[in-house]
Amino acid sequence: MIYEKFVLTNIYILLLVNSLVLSSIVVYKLVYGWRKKRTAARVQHLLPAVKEEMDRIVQGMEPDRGFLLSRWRRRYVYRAMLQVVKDSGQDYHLAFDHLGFTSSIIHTIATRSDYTDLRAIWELSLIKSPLANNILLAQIGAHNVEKAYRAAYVLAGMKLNDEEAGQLVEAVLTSSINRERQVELLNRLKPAFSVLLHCLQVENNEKARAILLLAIKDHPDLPGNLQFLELMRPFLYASIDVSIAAVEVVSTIAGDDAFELVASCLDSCPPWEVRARIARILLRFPGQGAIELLKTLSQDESWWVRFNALNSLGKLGQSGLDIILDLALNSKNGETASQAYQMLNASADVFNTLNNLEKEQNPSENPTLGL
Amino acid sequence: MKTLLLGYSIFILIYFFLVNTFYLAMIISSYRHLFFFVQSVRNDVYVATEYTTPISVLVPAYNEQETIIDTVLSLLKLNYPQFEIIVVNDGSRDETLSRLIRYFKLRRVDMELRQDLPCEKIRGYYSSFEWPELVVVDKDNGGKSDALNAGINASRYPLFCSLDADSILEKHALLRLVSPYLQNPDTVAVGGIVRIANGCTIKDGEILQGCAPSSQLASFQVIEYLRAFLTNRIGWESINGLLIISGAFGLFKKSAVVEAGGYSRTIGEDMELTLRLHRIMRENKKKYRVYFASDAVCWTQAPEDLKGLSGQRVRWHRGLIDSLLKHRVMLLNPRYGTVGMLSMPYYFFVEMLGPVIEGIGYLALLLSWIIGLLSPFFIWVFAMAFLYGLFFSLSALLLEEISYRRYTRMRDTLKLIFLALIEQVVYRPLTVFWRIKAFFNYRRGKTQWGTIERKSFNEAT
Repeated sequence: MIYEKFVLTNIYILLLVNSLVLSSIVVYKLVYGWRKKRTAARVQHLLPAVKEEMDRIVQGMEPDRGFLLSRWRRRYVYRAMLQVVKDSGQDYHLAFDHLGFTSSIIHTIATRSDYTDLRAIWELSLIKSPLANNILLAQIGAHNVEKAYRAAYVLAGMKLNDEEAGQLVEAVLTSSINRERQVELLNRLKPAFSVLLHCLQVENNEKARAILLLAIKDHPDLPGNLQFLELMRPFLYASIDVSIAAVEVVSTIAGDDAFELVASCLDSCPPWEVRARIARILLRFPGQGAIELLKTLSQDESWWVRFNALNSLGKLGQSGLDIILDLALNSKNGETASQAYQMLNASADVFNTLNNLEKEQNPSENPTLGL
Repeated sequence: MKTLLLGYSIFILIYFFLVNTFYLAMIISSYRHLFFFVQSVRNDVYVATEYTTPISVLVPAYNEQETIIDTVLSLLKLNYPQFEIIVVNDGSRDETLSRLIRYFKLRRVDMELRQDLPCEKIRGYYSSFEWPELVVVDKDNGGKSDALNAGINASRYPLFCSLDADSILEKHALLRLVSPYLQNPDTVAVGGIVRIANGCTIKDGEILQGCAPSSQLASFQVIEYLRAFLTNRIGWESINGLLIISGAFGLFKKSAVVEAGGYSRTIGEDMELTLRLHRIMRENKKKYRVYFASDAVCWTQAPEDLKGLSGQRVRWHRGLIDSLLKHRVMLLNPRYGTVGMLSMPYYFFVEMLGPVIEGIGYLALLLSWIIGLLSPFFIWVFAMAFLYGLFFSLSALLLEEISYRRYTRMRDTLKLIFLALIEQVVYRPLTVFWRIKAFFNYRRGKTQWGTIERKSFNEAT
């Protein structure tokens, strides 16, 4: 009967396959453990000699140990070299380039599958060879987002000239990498300020402009002059994302001129999202003007604006606490009064201020407020 | 009678052939995906920054006094830039709330909660100045789904992660779970892998070494979980047809869940929500993805006694039946794409009705033996089914061995292999029986919590 034959054939095949899978598990476990130990031992053994040779190559001399090029040891030499880089944190890319390892990784990325690429890209992050810049730049446009992100991450950690940095910024902004990761990459890259500014000025895409502004905010060379602030002014009145990012930039500069710019932005009645962000960043501006603005914003029609303004007031210490108390007791706006009351009750900043006050008044006693 | 038995044997043969071919395709697909995951994990270069999307971790708790402190401690150690932990005490009758208050020095605060989703009355809202990221919501009992809805209302961040109160997350679990969302903002849900913590070495809410449990019943579940997560879910994810994001460890986009109406009051609230998200997204022709991150690991306690296990399995299967029947409109409906044409039929005919078909098989085997009609063909069909089952268990163990290798000791691997060999005859008939039991009064106890007896993690190991 055909069914019987079919079942019996299946049984024989399954018996065979199951025995294969079962033995694979055991063999894999044994071999993996053994190989791991053996590789670690060999790499460890080669480590001092490999380091010496790498130093020689970096100093412009030829390596004097032939084993570096021996075919059967090449894998262990490569592992040992990566280990040296990991341990020392120094730049040994000349040694990798000289021994042909960089070119073989580039070849791997150009010809193999996605899976191998991730490992190869990770290794390039250790090697840091400029020879790999082009292939990494090309990977940023890859369909696989993880691969694109990792290639950009590695490149962002390398020493790039202004032109290359500009290319990378452009590649990152036009890639399908998530927005948060794009900002992270630009922060890691830290291109010259002029490069970022140029990109911002020529960029038309709103999302990209917001990303560039956020990267500018964290740049160490962020200028605080009036000219730059004037440059920021149009961005304060752009789309919500761009406005928020511009508010962040201006507040990082701080100072009276920056405060005037933020206050003038508020006068133009921006969307609630922008007002909420302003309520959060006003803390960075010292002076009574900012406190008055916070007081106004704590009576805003939007819940988030009020919440952020009251939170900022809570962080100001006693002066802020007095205002919150006043708002909780005397505000004609019921929502503000209720939110101010909640802030008094639930904010850790308010709690800390009260604790400090109690400590100042009774220095010998252990403060017990609220707990 | 003989003809009837022969007919059933042939039916079972065809059924098993179709199902197992499908399983085989799943394993092959899983292998490809798993390989990619493993490469990603081993070659991690990315770091989380302040720009990484913040997450609210929701921990619904009902009578979890034994494990709740360890769970929260493990969560506080998570490697993630910005997150909050919201423990929702769903009217526990034990010391869950008081232990939390004592240990974390919680303070009752007068906060107004948003009411995006309906939930039972909130009794109190507690926060800690020492651990500002920890919030405890105390509410009237309303079931797990109700507690999760309350947690969503209390959450501040755009993503939330649901987590069982008896679970321990690995340090990087949240980062790995959010990774698919960072790669594709159209992601609405991501499931993580759940592993069995029984037998593992745990210290201060952290898994130090993965070990096979000493209890045989829990060890069977290790194999079962590996099979379900490493072969089945990875396979479904690759075609965007994953229908279950485990309530024990899953990440959701809050806006999508609120738009879908939150968790509904059903016993399998996790599956029901995932099905509803699929349905709404496909009906509204929205771009979306449901992912499975097999590198995001959550360790949970498995029941070690038959009573606890049977209760859990009956409840799970009831949830499955309820959810599938509720969304039966998607079954074989091309409008719902792969979900309607592949996932739904699979879950309906294999996951839901499979135990019935298998149970009838066991009965037929017994009956034919009693009346002396037991033919060699019938035995061969059963032997084939047994060998297929064994193949899937061993494949899961092999996948685990070449990928994550959480069980480092040789003796654990050998023990799991041995149990995989006997699982089909010792453990599987039991689960089949419990799953059949679930068909009776499957609507009963819709908002019940599971009543597995918990031990503290230190005691459990």
